[in-house]
Amino acid sequence: MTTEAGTETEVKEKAEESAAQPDQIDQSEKAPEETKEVVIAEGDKKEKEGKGISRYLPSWLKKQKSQTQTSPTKDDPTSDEAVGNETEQKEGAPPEVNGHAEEEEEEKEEEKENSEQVNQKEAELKADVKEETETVREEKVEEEKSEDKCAKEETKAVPEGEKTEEQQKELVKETSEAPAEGEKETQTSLFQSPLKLVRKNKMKLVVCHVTLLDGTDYTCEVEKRVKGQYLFFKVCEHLNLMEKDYFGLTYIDNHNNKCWLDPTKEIKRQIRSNNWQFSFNVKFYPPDPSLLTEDLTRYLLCLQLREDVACGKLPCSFVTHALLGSYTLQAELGDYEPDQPKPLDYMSQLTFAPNQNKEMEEKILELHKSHRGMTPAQADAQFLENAKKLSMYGVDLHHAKDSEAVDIMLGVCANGLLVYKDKLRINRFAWPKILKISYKRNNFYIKIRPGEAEQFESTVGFKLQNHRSAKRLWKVCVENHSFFRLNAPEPPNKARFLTLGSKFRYSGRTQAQTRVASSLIDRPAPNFERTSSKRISRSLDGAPVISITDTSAGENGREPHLELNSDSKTAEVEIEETVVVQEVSKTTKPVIVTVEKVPSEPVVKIEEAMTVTEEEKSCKRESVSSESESEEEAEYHPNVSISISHTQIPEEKEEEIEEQEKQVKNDTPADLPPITQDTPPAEVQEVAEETKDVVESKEEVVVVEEKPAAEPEMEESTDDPMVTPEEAPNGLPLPDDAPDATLEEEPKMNGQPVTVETVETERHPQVICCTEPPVVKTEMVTISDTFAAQKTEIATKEVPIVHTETKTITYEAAQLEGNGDAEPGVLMTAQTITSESLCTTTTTHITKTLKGGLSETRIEKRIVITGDCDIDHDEALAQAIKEAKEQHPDMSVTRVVVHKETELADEED
Amino acid sequence: MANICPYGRFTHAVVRGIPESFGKAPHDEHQNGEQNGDASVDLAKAQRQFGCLTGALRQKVGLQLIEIPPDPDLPESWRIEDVVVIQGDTALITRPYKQQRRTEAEAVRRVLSELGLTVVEMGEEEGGSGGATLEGSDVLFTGREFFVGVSSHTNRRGAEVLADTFRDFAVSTVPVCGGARLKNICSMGGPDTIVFSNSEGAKKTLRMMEQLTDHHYEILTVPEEAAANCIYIKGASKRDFLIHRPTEEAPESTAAFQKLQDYTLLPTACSEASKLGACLSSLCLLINRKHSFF
Repeated sequence: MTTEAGTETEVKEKAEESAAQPDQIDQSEKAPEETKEVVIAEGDKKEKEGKGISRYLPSWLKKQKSQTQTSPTKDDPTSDEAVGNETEQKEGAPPEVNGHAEEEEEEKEEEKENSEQVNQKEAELKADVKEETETVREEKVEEEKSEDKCAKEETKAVPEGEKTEEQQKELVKETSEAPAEGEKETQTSLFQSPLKLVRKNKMKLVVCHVTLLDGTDYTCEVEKRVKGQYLFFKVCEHLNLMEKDYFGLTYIDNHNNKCWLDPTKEIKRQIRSNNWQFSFNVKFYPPDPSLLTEDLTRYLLCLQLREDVACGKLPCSFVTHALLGSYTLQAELGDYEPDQPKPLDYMSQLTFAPNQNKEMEEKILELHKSHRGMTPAQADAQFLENAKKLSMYGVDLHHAKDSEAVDIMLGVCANGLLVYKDKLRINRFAWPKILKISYKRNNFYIKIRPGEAEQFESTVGFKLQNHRSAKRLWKVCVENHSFFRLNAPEPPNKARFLTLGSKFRYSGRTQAQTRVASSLIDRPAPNFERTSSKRISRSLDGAPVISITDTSAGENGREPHLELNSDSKTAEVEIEETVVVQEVSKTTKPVIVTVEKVPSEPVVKIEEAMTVTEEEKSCKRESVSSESESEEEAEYHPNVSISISHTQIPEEKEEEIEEQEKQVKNDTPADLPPITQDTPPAEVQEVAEETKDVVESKEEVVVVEEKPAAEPEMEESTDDPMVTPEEAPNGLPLPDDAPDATLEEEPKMNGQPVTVETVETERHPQVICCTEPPVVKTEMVTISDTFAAQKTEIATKEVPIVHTETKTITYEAAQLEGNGDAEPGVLMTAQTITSESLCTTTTTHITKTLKGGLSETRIEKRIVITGDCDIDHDEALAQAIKEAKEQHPDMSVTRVVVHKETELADEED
Repeated sequence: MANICPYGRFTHAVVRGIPESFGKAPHDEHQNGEQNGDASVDLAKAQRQFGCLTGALRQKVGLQLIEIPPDPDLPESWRIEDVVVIQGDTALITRPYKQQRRTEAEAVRRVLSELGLTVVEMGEEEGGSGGATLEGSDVLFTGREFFVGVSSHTNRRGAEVLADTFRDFAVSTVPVCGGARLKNICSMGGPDTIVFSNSEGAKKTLRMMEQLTDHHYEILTVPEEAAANCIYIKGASKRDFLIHRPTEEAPESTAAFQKLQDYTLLPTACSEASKLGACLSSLCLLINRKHSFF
């Protein structure tokens, strides 16, 4: 962290403060109910635009800048300006805005994260068209403000001593806090440094009420736009809880359903009401609580279970009620005191069971006597040892109907999905048996792996009350599967890129990871007070030994969990929202026997490959749909990490494909001057609503590396599958199509997607069939697909897809455009490797064999950087280019295409 | 759960003597046994076999044996397993399929109360559980969960009542084919072992069980259905006892039982009762009164 950076930010904030004074007054008039009105210092949207990638590029490359798309509102960075920018950079004031300076120092992951967040934010905005008018007004005001500010920006690099210092301290604090937990985390950076993620800008504060497990209320103020995890971490901090991955926050939605607050999304967008009321709850019930590291965690789990038992959510027999109650008493009151005043009176104030009676209370007391000498921690441990054996422990029940419209309950738990009818278990699908989980409207489907004797997969469908319930159930499944079965959650970026589809994923740590993290907890057992007890919990280690036959030996045995690695490669699970795929898999069902085959996937990938140029758009869209209520369907392939190198490739939402097509249409004319005009109005609208801080700018770079030996003429044809902006085939639909796209998108945003979906489903022209794979990890897919961009048919067939750590597609493509450019004798192989780094990178190797025996290999790298201006795109780009060069020293960079898209409210001006 | 512990620990056995009306019960069309059983059963032999079983339970295994005197008015009362399902401290008085059998429970109820069990009734005929039928010989308790065979004598509603009574446990329903009872085709052969018949119907039931369970059980497959019903008890000093049909009654299956390591095998004849569709376990109720809460 450089001083200057902090300074600059502060200065900006200050300047803005003063500039914003009138607005502020204005706003507080408009929204008198708001308790706090703070100046918002955000939205320096333009700042970055002036700094093209040019400053990082070698001079020879700068000349090719003709491809760069920049916002029309901002001057195109001339080389002069670039120089100017460079100087500014040297001063140590990177173009970070709004106090995001600290993010400079963050790891790449975090940058990714940011970009993702922005995506989501944007999506949320899209989804939430109906903003409260108040907010809208306010936001608009802010927007203008920030624009003003931007203009002055560059002149304001005046240091200011005290504030800088202050800020630095703050930063130090934050950075020191974050790593405490996060050392081990790799994939799950979302949780790494919650506090860092919060925008420093002062924003409207809202008061959150969180009901804790002991029934007390925790109240805190958060900025209105913070994400779920911010609040969650605040609560955990308040509780002094480190093993937090088992927990989560819930809220009651407008339909009176209890929902989990998604840590990665803004709270405001989730609760959709002004009721900032939450509950802190156990989200994943550890199957063996004795493996928890801290007594505090066990205590909280106990509290949750006591509540579950008392309200009947966790049914137990009379005896069990009594036993659990007695451990509760022991933990909270300590040893039974014979002279305890009217113990039964006291007892009846406590709720142990739904139908608590005197008899039970007497039994509880009787048992309590027998626990003499047990420490609170031991009593909790015993409580958990007993509770965990209950058959409904950790089972999350959802009402549903089976295919015959019979009322059933679906229970999601650590082991899989259980089907109950009137308390009887009538079916069970263990996670390893499930190939795919999906939902479509109010239908929920699981595709079952064929048994030994069976040949075919089968799909079981259930009907939920409505699509919200279906989605909720699906999410719970995805999360439970990820948490309990995977070593690491799916790396978000990778999957996001690959699937292009809207998807929800478990974003936290898996149980495996959290166990590893817990084993590294190195702090004295935290003191905490049990609700009714004045005792201080002692660690079990130091506790006197009690003769409890049942005391599990491993209670304190912290297993090393060596087998747990955080290698995400083994843990690929894709969650998609797909329509096509389902149809596809139906077609292929008879053929598919092996697990590894998910036939529809290859298709998606190929599509991707074809439409790579459009992916930034798709990304956006993806987040749109992941946010929007209208998300009517989704899929998830619970592929357990155990199946080593086999990874699932995500499928794609049909809508996405459709949109992509549209996008292609929209984007093809990207070379035409104002790219922003191609942006569907919806986005513009959304920007208008957006609070100024969300400035999204996306850049895409295509780095083409070419082997010197390559024949130049090949370039054209090899480019075909990868539609680069400048080479985008002509004859594409006109920009007129853009409104169409918008129209179709719009309903989704409003959460009334039904019609859209049907239309799209039927419209999709894909015909895909799959044949048996030659190898386990390889799939042969015959595809006859419509090339999204051109609507011309590709006679692509026999596409073997190799699933390895990296995704590789080799496909044989016939003529893409009827331009006869590529002779029939030309074999083109293209490998697309997607790797995760700072940003999404797609590497495409295209090897062509010519009739003459010459061969050429071109590598195209597509890097998509998505995010708001907090990310230094240019730097990221430069880094990516540098990396590319390092990776292929024998190749030369022949072309860099920067396709940059920035969403600005004023773009429409 | 305190009362969730490995299967097989029992301290008491409750039996009911063979009445003179043995085999004279009105015909049960659903019954798998012989339709003309009255003619062919040998009362004296049945009583001898009953004596052997109780002797084995008391003397070999070392259980406290409580014998309820036979009641000639209740020709099937010796099938004591049917009238109650006991788990831990709780005894659920069932509602057998046959109306006339429902009075059999009275004497049993008294004994169980004396033993300090919490006796739970299935409820009035007209009540919420109306139409529910349940017989203990359709209930397999594995120590971890219940499987209820939906058979000719036990219906789903009966299973629901059972699930409501034993809430700590998962209760799964499984189909039982061919008019048999669940315990005809399988029984516990150890804390984690289920003895299963090799018949097609049994295999179907087994597959369903495997689908439904969270646990892994060892399966001991026996070629004869008669051999599939055994009584497993972990006796004092943790010896494993298995009461099973003798070689004369199930010649092919003897070898399978030999595979059980360190078991004390107690071949016990049950030919007469089995003619009426009953089996070894039908004749006794096993109770664990020693269990504490820890």
